[in-house]
Amino acid sequence: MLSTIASFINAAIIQGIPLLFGSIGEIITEKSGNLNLGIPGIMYVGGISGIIGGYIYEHSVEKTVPILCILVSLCASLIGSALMSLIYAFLTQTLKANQNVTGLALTTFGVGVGNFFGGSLLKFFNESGSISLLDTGLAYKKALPFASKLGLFGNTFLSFGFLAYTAIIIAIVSSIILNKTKVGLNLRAIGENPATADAAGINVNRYKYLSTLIGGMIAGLGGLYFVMDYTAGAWTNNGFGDRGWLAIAIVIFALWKPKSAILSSFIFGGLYIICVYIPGLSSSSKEIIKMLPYLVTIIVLVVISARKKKEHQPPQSLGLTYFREER
Amino acid sequence: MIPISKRKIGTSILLSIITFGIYLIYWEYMLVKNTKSIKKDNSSCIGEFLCLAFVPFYSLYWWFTRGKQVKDQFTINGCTATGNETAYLILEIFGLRIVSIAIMQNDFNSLPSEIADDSSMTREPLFHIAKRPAIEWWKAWLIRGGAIIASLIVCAFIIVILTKQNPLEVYAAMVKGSFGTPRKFWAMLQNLAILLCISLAVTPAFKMKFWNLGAEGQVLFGGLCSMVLMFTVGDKIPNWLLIASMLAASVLGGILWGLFPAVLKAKLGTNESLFTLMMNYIAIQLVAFAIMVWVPSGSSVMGLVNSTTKAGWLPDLFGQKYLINILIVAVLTVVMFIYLKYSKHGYEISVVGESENTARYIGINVKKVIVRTMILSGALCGLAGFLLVSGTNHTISKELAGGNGFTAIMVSWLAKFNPLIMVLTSFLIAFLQKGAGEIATNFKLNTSIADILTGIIIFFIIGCEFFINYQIKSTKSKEGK
Repeated sequence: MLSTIASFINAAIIQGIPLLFGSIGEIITEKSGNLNLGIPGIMYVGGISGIIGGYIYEHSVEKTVPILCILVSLCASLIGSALMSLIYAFLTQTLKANQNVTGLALTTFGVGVGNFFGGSLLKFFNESGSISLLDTGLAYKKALPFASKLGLFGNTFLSFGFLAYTAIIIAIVSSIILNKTKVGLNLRAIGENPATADAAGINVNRYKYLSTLIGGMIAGLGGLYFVMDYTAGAWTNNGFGDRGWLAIAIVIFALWKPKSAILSSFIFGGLYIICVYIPGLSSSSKEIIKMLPYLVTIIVLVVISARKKKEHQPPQSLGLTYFREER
Repeated sequence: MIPISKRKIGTSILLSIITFGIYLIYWEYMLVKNTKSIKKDNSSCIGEFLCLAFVPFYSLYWWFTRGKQVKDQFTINGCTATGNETAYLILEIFGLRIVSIAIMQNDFNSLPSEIADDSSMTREPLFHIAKRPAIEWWKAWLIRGGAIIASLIVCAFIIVILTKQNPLEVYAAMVKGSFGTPRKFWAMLQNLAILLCISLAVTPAFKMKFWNLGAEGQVLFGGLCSMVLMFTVGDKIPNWLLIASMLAASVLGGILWGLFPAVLKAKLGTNESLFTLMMNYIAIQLVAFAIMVWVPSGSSVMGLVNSTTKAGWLPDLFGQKYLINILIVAVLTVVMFIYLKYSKHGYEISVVGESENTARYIGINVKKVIVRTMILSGALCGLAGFLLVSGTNHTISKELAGGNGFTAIMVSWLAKFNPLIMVLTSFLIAFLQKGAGEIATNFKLNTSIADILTGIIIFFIIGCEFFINYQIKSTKSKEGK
């Protein structure tokens, strides 16, 4: 029984890490007032760029070095998701396009890019079969050396690759930056009322661009974690599924607080796979249980809108385009 | 006043690195100019700069003498320079000219603004952006057409890189995908009809600025309601009654799925875009559940339902399977156009969309409008679900709506909420999808290329709206007036 619970918690955390990356990225973006619905697409691109980088590296050298495997795929992933975020930022900030439409188009585009290259990368290199980057996957999965010696505790909480800890560190650091520094204050001011922030001399455009860019890159790491650590370097089309949308749901569940996003992501990760761990479920009732994360999000949405607490509301200018000359 | 160009050193060094030294050349030129202007010498410095760049060992002489001159001029002006001619000389010998440049720039930066006048630091931006009052319709369409052509060129580049084929051949293949055979043409029309139907459904809600991202779920749940009837009472009641009740069930199902978020939005102000988004997944899981219950083998794929009796199947019209679907949607398009443009409801929708406060002020019951419009939106989505289940697929799967719920949002947006123009925009998307499917099979690519091309074209079209709504004015020309 205990071991079942432990393995459930372990699985929940593993499922939660990509969600955590995605939701932290979205929180940072939303704090500046940009509702980036392109996050699911960005996460796909983050994953596939990592795969492409890792694949090219593994195929260009005789013997791979783990640290280079990680560096090449990490850089590729960051570049991919940064480019995606730049498309979004350019369209919504510079060209003042509608954020929802741009975000949805970005998701269509990103998922398309992911599945396209996932399906035809090997063809470009005249190979057949499916993508699997064993060396890179192993490098990412390498756990802390003493984790297995700590018994159940080690196996449950310390058996992850380095990206999992990175996610938690990023969450804590971004929480500190958002709440304790001047940069964070400026960013939140822009999200609440860009005109006021502009009048106070804050460079609204630069902040919005940067927060979208950084947020997108963090979210892209979620895709990278999924393909490298969770599936160990293998790509299946649409394998990432709807996790990107769940990440956006977690932003609400966590009430736009990066620290609460950590626990929320693990809860959602747990809800995502709980159907596997409940004994005696028929395959049809499993499908019903899989609704849980979405139902919970809806309930949270309704509750926070009913309570109307000021600190639990989204940034006030969320989703609105800022144009200085508009009254 | 001495005209001196001041610049940030860190940024300049970074720019020099990024531009592979091109910026450094400019920077050095401006510095040579500074050393002249501090001596109140306004003659050209091109010759001196070229000598510095190309005459061997001249640079040693230059840095030594100019370093001295600059220092002296600083003293005359009552300032002190940190730079020293010997230091410059040594740095130059060791090839560290960038350090000398930085030091000298730092000296110039330290000059107080009473002595040095820097027009570059307080320079006004060259242009500013202003809203356009209104643009002639033909100009707007010219811009949109230009954007589509530009996007097709970008797409062509991408296709060429990926397939290494002549882009014209590829585009010809795309045309074939929609118009190659009568069957392909009808299939394309069918896709267009469904996409158009969903786009019509989301349009009134969007016009009201209600972000219904749940069309996917509303279609799916509507389809599921049809399927329940088709599957359970398929052979027990007359066919016309079955089809009528399926239609009613679908529409009611779609309404139900749209009504939850609408009521909560109206009553509590709940964020509708995320609410409707989550409703999609609940609908998906319900369909998965139903399939698990109905298909005894435990497979997640459902075959054709009632394939022998054809109970609950929409009949063929003039031998064309999809004609009924297409006709229904065509009628709907016209009705929706009239509804939005000429009815009181349509007027209320656009007022609420433009400004809720105005709507309240002139006595429109905003909550009522929200709920009523979402009922309409959900009903049409449900209808699309019915057309898919009864008129097209005769089965159900999680991918029934196939992403059209999201694509419809873009179709509607691109057409500026005008149902008649939506025929064009949904044709564009349906054409692209079929065409991309064709090139995918012809050139052995993955069908996801369709999504990439759709994405690029949409980026261009939403980007070009900027040039329709805003204009870029040059600051200089405004001053001239």
